[in-house]
Amino acid sequence: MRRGRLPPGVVNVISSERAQAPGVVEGLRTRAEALQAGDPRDPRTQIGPLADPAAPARVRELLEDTRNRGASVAVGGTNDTTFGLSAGILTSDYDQGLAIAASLNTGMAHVNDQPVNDEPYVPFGGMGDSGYGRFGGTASIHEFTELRWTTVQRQPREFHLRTAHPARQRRQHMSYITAPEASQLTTGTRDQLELFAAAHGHFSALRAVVVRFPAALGALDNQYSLIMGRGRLDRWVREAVFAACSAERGNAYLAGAMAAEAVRHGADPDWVNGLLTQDSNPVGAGEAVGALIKFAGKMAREPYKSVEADVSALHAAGWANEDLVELLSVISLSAYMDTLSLSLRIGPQAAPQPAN
Amino acid sequence: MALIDYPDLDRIDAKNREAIERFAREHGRPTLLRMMLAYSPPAQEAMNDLYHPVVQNGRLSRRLKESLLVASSEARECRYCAGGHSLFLVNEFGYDQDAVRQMRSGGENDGWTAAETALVRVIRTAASDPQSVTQEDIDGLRATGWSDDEIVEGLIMASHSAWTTTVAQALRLEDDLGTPEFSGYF
Repeated sequence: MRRGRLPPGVVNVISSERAQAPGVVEGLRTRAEALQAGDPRDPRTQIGPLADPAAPARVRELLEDTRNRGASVAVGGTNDTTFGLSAGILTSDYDQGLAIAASLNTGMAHVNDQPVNDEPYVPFGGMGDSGYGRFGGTASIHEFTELRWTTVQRQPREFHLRTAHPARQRRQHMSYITAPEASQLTTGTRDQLELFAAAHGHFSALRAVVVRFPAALGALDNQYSLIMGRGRLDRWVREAVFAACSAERGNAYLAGAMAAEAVRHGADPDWVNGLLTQDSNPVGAGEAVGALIKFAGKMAREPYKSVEADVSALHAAGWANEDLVELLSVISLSAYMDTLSLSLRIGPQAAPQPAN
Repeated sequence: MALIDYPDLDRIDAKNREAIERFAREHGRPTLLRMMLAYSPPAQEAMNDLYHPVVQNGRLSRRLKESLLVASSEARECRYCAGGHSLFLVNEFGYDQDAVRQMRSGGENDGWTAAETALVRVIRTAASDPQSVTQEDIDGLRATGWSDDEIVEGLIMASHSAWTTTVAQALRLEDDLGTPEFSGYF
């Protein structure tokens, strides 16, 4: 029962089979007649005056028009307007209420509630002549911004691995198990994927498949940020070690991704590229880093062949046991990710599918 | 002897020490892996995230996951990791040692369903040579009733095994299993 002051108060729909029953109509009439009209300064007043002298005539005209149309409350007539801000649907059947809400051409619809609702975080706005967008919460961000896809290609896309492993030919194939559709993911999981994409400039095909086991996605993200984000070794060294290990195992996808990360964190692009594309001297970044790369390459392939001389070489290059164990955690993380990626042939093609 | 000395546990931080002591309390034996990881607090913390969340959650039973970890560790020839997870099966899930030995030698277990046997086979392959897993292997698992989500969960166990066995083998932790504290290892 509004006097037109609030735009969302223009549409009310009464639904359900019982809506046409005499009791419902009588009840509404009794309730309306009992409303106290009068001076708005009087606290007993429930209905104040209309806006101006012309308003009563306009209201009478609308009422007459409604009676001429049979005073129907059918939904079919509700969309017969160029306006569509908000609707309230009163019903004893929630499913039917939602079905009617879906059929209405309004920007907002409230089942078993009045049409006038607003919260700062909701997408407030109407359809047709009742609106020009949505405001509130993330809707405001979407209204005032445009999505952009930005990439920075810092080095050649194709890495010719030292070992001519069949994995390289397999890159054109689909992964054995694909990423679930985005619409199947929980909001939290989708946020995790998008956070990674925002930080790295691209979606992670591996994570997009790991979401099938959400506990593992959290575990992977945590261990990645701990091992790659903290520690004594320079970040570019850790990324380069990871890339070298993945290349050693024939995983072009992760080798390429980590090589790009190494460059992003300060590694020399030519050195990283040489590390992956040919039998270049890993010592190009210095004797000490070269010793790390050599050790990592062997441990990526055959950790069970580790001997005292391998560790001695690291010590001789100036690395402490703390550095050695940190290095092993990077090699182990790469083993973890390579095992999953290679066994399912996950590559860039496994990116998440858009929601329908 | 392991290839490097174990760190002085009296000089490590409290959080690091708690990770080591908690394992000893829960399992009645020391953890050489975690003792070595004490050299790198981020790696120690990562290890916490690596094991408990994935073993305690998900669709596959913890018993099956421990079986997959035993099979994966054995496929990667890591006696230290395979032995540790074997003890979990014996002490917590009532397996007898002969059954676990049979499992480790590549055999099947009488208690497994056909679907579990198929899953163990593929996970074993993924652990030892992930590139040799084929589309037919995955389709075969689907045919025995496993969903894609469950297959990924199983493969995570092979990945977990790749992580721990790399550290354990690179440092040759199994060389230190001869002490009385590890007399139950097999």
